[in-house]
Amino acid sequence: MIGAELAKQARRLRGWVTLAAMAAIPAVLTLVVGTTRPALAERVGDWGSVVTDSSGLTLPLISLSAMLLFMLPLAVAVFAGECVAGETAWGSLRYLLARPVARGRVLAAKAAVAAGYSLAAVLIVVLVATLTGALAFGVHPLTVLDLQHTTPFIVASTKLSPLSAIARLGLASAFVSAGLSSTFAFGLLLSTLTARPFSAVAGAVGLGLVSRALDNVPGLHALSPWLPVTDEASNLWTGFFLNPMQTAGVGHALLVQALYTSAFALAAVWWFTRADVLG
Amino acid sequence: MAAEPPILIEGLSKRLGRGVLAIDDLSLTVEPGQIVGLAGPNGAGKSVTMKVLLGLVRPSSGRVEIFGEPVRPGASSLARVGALVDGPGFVPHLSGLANLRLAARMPGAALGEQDIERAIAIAGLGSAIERAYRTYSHGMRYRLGLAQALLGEPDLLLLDEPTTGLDPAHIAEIRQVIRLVAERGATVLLSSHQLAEIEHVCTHAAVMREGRLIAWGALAELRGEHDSLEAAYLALVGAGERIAQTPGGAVSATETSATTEHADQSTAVEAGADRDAAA
Amino acid sequence: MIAAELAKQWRRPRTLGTLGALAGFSFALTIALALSGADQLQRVGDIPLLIVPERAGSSIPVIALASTMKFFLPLAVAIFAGESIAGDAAVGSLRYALARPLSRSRYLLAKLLVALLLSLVAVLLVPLAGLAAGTLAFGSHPLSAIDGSASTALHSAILTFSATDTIARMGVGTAYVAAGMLSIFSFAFLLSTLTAYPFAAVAGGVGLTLVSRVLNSDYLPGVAVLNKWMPNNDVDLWEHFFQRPAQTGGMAHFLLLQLIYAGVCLGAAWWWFARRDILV
Repeated sequence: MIGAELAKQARRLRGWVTLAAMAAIPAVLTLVVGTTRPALAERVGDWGSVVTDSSGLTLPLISLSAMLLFMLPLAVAVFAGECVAGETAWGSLRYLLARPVARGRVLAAKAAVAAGYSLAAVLIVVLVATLTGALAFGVHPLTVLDLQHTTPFIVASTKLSPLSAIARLGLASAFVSAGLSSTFAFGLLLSTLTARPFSAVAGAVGLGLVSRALDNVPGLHALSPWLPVTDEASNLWTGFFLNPMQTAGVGHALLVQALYTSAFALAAVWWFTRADVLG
Repeated sequence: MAAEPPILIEGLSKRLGRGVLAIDDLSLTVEPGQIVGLAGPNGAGKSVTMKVLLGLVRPSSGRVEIFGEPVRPGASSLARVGALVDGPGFVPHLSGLANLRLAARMPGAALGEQDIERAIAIAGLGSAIERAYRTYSHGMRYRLGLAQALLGEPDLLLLDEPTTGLDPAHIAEIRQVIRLVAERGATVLLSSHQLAEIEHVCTHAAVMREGRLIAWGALAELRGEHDSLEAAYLALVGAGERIAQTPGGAVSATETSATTEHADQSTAVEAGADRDAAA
Repeated sequence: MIAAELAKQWRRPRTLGTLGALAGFSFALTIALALSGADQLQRVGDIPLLIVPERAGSSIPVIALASTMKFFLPLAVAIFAGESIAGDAAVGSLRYALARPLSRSRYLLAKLLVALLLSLVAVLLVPLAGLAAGTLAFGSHPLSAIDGSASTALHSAILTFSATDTIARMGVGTAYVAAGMLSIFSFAFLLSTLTAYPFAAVAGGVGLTLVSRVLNSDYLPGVAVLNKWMPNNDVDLWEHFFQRPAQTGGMAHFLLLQLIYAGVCLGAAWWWFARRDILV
């Protein structure tokens, strides 16, 4: 079943364009930053800072930081939102479901393929950024400056060997992917509810927007730890690049993601298996 | 295996979203080898009935069985059903052939290369079968839809308005296909506005109106003393101007009060008949 | 015609829902603060202004307006503007509305005025509901705020405004924010004349807001230059009204920018709509 779904999605222009954009942006970023201001320090996340030309390994950090706000959630929303709503729009959903296959299986197969594409998006960003960075600036130890703890007298920075940096990059990618799962699940839910993929995509993007907007309201601080998408939680991955690794808050962030993701996913499954397919 | 009736409907009712009763206490049993025409005006509930049979729409109450198995999303008896409902639905960016192959990949059904070849022949699209579906004309899409419905030689064929928008040559082809299908022992349920169509092809007819079954039986029976099925239908349903033209005579009170809440309509019809008779 | 259109739009669930949500936001904010945080210093805006909410009910409209002006108000405005014509097209009533002895210009004008009115109500509703809720929760007292930009580690620049003074400054501030929504409104309105999908017009308006928000920092070299031309960035300048003396630098430029966006977008909308074939 997954094979069939993959066959359907593999040739789609939309999928390739999105993944291509995921590859192009880090490459362009490397080019632009490399040619205009390679020796300057770039902000990474909330409080990190790296000097670009010190090592090509700074590029994946810079790229992730730049794309986490909007581009990556958008890509994930596209894959999730198109998942079921696309079939409904084509008119082929009813034929897909009028078969001796449990609807839950159909949804699982589609969701798995969409999730695969979403993961690929994150990995492509990291890989392309690393490659172009390595080409431009070479593979050297990665130095990350911690602006939170840096004073005029003490410079708090961590130096990581290339191998260590790459390992932590892997961890960071995993965390970033987990952080996007609530957006993905919401997009999937919307996809089962509407016949217009655009609405599902926009809604999934909207989740992040509303969540961030609420996060920024003074006085709603009590709410922030429980919002699905916040600037703070999204940037926790930068803590992986310090010695010792700062993982405070990671557990809670993952829990929140798990809660939202399972809630949205369950709702999607419930609706998909019970709904009348009239369109 | 032919012991259970292909279609068994008992007391089926379906209430749609806004409280509209789309199907009202429908009971119908179709025996193997019958070609049943489902007739009725727009909104009579024909389409919804077909979707219930396919497990796409959940009945509000009543019993629906296909080949002795209660119909449910993912029921195994759906493997023996082929359908073309609400128009064809295929993946636009894939070729007709690719779409057929995807449709043939049904878990649990052993569809082989032979079945694909047969489907290609039925579709009769020539070299266009290798072109992307989105380039197909309306007629071509219907042919592909029909080919998909006939994939794997189903024992039950459900066709919803199969001759819409097709030219006479195509219509004749479809009639031929239906006859061949019935000849090998399969059962056909097709819905149509055009009673002439039903008369040409079907062995039995079921007439629906506002969700209710108002007539059911072999064609000869239904025709009664009228010249054609159409005349009998109009007599049954009532249409002011037409009544005067049929030899069947004036509308009888018992026939039009099939739906008593439309007494005002029947008086209008009678008034119309009176007016025409007087003219 | 305008009255008919207003009556039609006013009762729509979408209208009431959006307005209700905005008013609800102010109330929810008050409740949240009353439950926790009302006695602590809250940072408002970029200056920043530091306010203890429980000391004055009039602090709530300030916080509420500051919280909604960057996303929720543009969203509401985009909804009203985006729905105006595309909504008719989507339902299929556009062709009937226009196939009458009514110039397209008049039709467009009626739609524009009604959508503008609703957007204005939306912007007003946030501080008004905030004032009501805040006064109920914390009482009507002079507002005291610490001016973060004028304070040092040793000395806090505390400003006090009488209740009426606060309301007056809020009034001007609200008017400023309302004017600041013109650009988003006009863009969404233009999109509404171009598409038959209201959702696309609304999304476009939100998209413009996002672009404006995103392009205001130095992600890439040269981007900072665009800041001056972004329609939503300086909408927070009204917070400077709460400084002594009130600094109004940049406001004139922002308002002029709004007029430019409105002129270009509405002009384009008029031009296009007059010529367009109505196929929907």
